[in-house]
Amino acid sequence: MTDTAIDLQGLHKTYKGGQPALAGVDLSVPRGAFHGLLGPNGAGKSTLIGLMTGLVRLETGSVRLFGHDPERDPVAARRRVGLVPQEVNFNSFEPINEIIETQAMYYGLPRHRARERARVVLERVGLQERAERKPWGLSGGMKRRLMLARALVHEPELLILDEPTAGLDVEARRDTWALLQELNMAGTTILMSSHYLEEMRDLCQNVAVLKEGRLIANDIPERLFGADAGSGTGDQGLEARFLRLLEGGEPKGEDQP
Amino acid sequence: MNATILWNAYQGLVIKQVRRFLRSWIQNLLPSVVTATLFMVIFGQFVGRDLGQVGGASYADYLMPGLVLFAVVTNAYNNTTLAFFGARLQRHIEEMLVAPMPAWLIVAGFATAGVLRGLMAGALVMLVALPMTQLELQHPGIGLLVAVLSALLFSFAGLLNGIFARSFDDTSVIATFLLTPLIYLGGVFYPIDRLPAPWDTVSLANPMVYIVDGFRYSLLDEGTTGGGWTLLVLPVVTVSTGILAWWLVARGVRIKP
Repeated sequence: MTDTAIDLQGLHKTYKGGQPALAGVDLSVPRGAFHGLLGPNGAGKSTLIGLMTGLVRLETGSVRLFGHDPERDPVAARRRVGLVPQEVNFNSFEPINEIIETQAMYYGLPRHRARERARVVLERVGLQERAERKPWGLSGGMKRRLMLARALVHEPELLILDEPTAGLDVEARRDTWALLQELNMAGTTILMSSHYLEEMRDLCQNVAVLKEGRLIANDIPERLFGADAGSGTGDQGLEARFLRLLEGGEPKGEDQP
Repeated sequence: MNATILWNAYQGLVIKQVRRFLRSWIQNLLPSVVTATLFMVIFGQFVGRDLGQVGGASYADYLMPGLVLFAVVTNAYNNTTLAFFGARLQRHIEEMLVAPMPAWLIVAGFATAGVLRGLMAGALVMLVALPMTQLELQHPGIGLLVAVLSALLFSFAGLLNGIFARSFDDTSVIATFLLTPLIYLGGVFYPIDRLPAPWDTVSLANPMVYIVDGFRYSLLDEGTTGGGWTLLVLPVVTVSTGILAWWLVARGVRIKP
């Protein structure tokens, strides 16, 4: 059994007629880690997540999830992974409980177990009252919770989240943080992309920073942002330190090329 | 282990798709029954009385097998086209792509739902139209085989349409401008050997001729080609179309950037 949950080597991706979205990314995430993925818009975070989860066609490089190639052995690799995508991607014409049940069955759960798990995860994210309804009337935050429930229904060992708290109010964001920390404490490996620097600093054990398709840093938050970084917008604030990092100034991560 | 997981995933997809078309059964299943009933009453009963024997049977008896097949193939085709295009448009196809579901399983799931809808529509048409005829099933095994293979072929063909469609308009273009003329000119309403040259020969290039002819043979024990061509051509075309659909889904054409 490998101790590495995610092992990415030499990932390159160029979309048709565009600039390279990823230009040779290597990244390794150990089992049980809470790993952040940070970078400005267009840095390649969603492409990286798409390549890991089968949503984007792999050009060159290799993806290994728990030691398995998801293309060659999808059952061994993908069954252990849950994804919360950045954009809403459920069927709006299907009742909420059926969305979750179906996803559970896609991951190989038998129907009775899928029903049971759907009930459990919907209760966990506070959507049990709306289980029989279609998701038309859900608020933005509720839609995110629905996608989180869907990603958790098969009890994945690795949870990948693409900006899961974008657009959430403070309370909903804190609820999501608490749930993610609880899952991580229970052994779930988490890879999360976000634009919220406080989220990265407070939740993640390690943060990988992408810029223009390259990994420019991969280190503990204290070394990336400085142990004394505050939340303000001043020179010593997180934002200023992150911008300096992107510009190539101090501080540098251990894996910086 | 893997087989059970894949079986559960397949069931999940089929259940989801069957629920989808049954949720709107008035829109999805009834139109075929209404159209077939009108054809049977107007052409089979009123106009048909003056036509005498056609292809060795009364016109109502001659017409009915073609109408059943018409319902089977249009329902199978429309089901997979709209289901697959809808999944792409709303992006819930991603629920399958992230799960441990190989491309062949996705194709099989969509095709099965198409076959089920096609057969349900065909059975309903038969139920309504049969009392207006003197028909008895002569070769039920051949009839069922032709109906299932036809539904499967047009499910695969609908999937191809669903893969390439860029808008809702594209989902109806093939059905309106290719499928419907092929069916109407494929011997549903008249024996092709009654057509003047060269149209009788040209008609032999229409695959619907063999499908309708084989199904008519199963009910009437009469047919231009005696059912043999149907059982020879249909499986080959069906398997080829299925392989093409699988290849496109496996390559991620129009699904994965």
